[in-house]
Amino acid sequence: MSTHRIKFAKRGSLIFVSHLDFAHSFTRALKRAELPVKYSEGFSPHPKQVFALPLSVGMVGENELCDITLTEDYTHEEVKARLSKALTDDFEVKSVTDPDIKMGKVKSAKYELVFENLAPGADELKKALSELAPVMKTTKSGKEKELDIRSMVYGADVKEAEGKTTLYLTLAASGDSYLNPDLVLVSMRNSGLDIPDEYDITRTDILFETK
Amino acid sequence: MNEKTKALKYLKKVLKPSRYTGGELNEVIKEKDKVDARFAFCFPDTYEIGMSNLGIKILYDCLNREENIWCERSFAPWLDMGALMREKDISLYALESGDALKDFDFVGFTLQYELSYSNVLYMLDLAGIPLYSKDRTDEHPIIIGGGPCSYNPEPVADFFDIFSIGEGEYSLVETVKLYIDYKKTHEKFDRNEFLRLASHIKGNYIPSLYDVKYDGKDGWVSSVTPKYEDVPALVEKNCITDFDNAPFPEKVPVPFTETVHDRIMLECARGCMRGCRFCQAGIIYRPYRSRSFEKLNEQAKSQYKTSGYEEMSLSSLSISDYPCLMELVDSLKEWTDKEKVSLSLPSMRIDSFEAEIMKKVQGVRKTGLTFAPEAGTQRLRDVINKNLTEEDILGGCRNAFSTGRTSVKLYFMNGLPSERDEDIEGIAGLGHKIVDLYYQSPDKPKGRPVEVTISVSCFVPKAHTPFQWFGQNSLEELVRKQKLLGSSIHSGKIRYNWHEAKVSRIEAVFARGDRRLSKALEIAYKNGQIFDGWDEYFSYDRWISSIEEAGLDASYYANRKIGFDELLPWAHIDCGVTQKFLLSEAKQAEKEVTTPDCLTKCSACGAAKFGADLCTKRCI
Repeated sequence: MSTHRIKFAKRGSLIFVSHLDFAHSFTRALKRAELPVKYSEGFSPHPKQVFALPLSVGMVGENELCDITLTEDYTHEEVKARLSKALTDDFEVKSVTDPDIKMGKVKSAKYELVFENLAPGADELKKALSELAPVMKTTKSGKEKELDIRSMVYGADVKEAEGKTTLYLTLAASGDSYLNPDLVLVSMRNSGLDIPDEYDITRTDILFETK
Repeated sequence: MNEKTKALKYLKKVLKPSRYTGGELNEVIKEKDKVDARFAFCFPDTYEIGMSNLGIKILYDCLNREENIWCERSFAPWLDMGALMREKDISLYALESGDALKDFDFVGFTLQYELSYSNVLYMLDLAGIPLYSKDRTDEHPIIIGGGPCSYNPEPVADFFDIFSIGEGEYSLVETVKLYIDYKKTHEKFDRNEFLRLASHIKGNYIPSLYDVKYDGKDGWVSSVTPKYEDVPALVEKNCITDFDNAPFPEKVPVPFTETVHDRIMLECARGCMRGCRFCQAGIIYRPYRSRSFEKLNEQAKSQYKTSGYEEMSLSSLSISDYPCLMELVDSLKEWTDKEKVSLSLPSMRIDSFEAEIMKKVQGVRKTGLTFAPEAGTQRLRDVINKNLTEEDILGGCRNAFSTGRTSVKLYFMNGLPSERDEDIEGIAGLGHKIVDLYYQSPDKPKGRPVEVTISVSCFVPKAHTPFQWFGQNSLEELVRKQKLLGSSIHSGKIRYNWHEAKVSRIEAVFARGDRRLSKALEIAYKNGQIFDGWDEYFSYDRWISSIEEAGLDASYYANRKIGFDELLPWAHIDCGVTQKFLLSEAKQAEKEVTTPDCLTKCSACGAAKFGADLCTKRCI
């Protein structure tokens, strides 16, 4: 038996594949790679694969993480080589390592949002990011709830270059506290900024708790 | 910037955006400058439905095997995407290259069900291609249709340049090659000249080359004649004789998003030797041909390796007639268990149902059991030639219960020719007997209730079947029978589903329709009718008013009993089975007499002309 942490990028057509569909495709990719995944015991066996965080539809992921358990011993290099060949070019295996920290310890994620010809300037945006007001969010049970998002923004920066404005955000992404980057934009719009809903978004990194 | 690149910007806003991106594993990408012809294979329904179709995968593979032909795919965009494309001025594109369909050489549609016709117009319109064949110029793609509905192509004849009748593995490639040759040898492409030449390829029906007269009874079709001597008066279907070696894809595109049949499909056999009298597939795919189990096992392994699918379905019109089923299941099980691939056997016939096979197939995941007795009494089963007794049905269920199954699905039809109320009540009676049988079975699974599902569709008379002359019941009669069955079921263990009769009525109009219906279809589309196969978008009233606006009458097509001496609007299409045989079958039905299957006795249907040994050849 062996366990592996796969760091991968999900781009191109794949960004429109929902998390559940992608997880399913990933299982098939492991089969095509002839990597014997361990299945859970029970009535309806499931492959042992754990993703760090689901990725929203439309978002590029540059450093996504998935842990897998194989029934046999394989080196990380071998897993990387086989898996790389089993999916389309929109999927890139960046590294395969030991899963040193549990996926449950994920704390935050970094995002880059790129806008073209954005009306507000960098200073205006930075100011807005430092003063984010709470937003209303609909919970799963359908109730409206006020969400204090400022405490969930761990880092924010803005850069402008060649007509493009990039927002760099580090947002809470743990089991107890998760902030969707869309809500940051909602809050900024609520404060009167003109932010369009057409932009490119990439999750650039997933970060763990540090002691 | 091509059409797909334009669309990608907005895809976040639509439902299931991965329907529109392509980029799946095993899609075929070629350099467009290095090919001589580009073919867009269209399925006039959603991506999830289209990608579940085996035919499209086979033909995609056949065309792409040719180095100088590039075949791509396109599906009907869901309403949100259709609206977005119109708003942003994006033309319908093929998934692989993202190029607009209107720039292709061929745009092909597979016609699997009549209710997808409105989507053909929807897709042509979104692609910016004139709907009517006559309005297209030399610059437009050639629009080609195929699939089971093309055996009566008349209701959509005005929209198509070519129909490819029968199995297209070879003839479709031949038609595209003819086009390539024509372009190479002619300075200017002359559409009409090319179509005339294409009519010489077997199975090609070019509607614009025929004159149709309507001087029959009540204005019925009286003649369909070729305009020129070199155009065939009778278009014979293409039929593959060496089925074992017929092209079958080694790998198929694997969707990222879940489709309706998200699994490996093995085509074990083509055709059916049973001859149920309502069934079009049972006639048009004759003669019965099967593939050797060794070949199938090879194909299964290759498909598994290239897809990673966890499920495999052994497909055929009637899988239990496949002569080497046991050998096939055994050879597959040698590796599928280990790889955790489950097998499913749809279309099991209850009479030849073998408990032993079902025990083996239980495999990794347990699947339900489905049978199709079609009619509730022995008399009516004899009329439709479903050679199946009540004891066969109960015996099959007994086996199913003893292998641990608790759910049985039964398919029936109402409105069959000669049907009486007692036949409807017989369906409920059969359901009750199965429920009782379960509770009387000593080896039934302990502590679990039985679930019997009765699904009833409405009989739709189809072209090229012994029942093609018989009318459909009126809408009121169909609804009355549906209610009668509902009130005849007294067990809480029986779940009863029925098919919307209004939908079946429109299906019947087009199934037996003639060329004049093209107008009605155009009007319905212009009035907003698309996605007919989806109950929420099907509008019966819109259909009826569109048919009336075209100066036609739905009852004329759906309910009329066509005289045995009248011309059938599809008589110029030859499916191999003779009208003489179909007529004798219709008369046998009226006498409530059955006809044996092809293996028991040849009834001289005519399909033996493709190779007499095919009908009964066993695959060992």
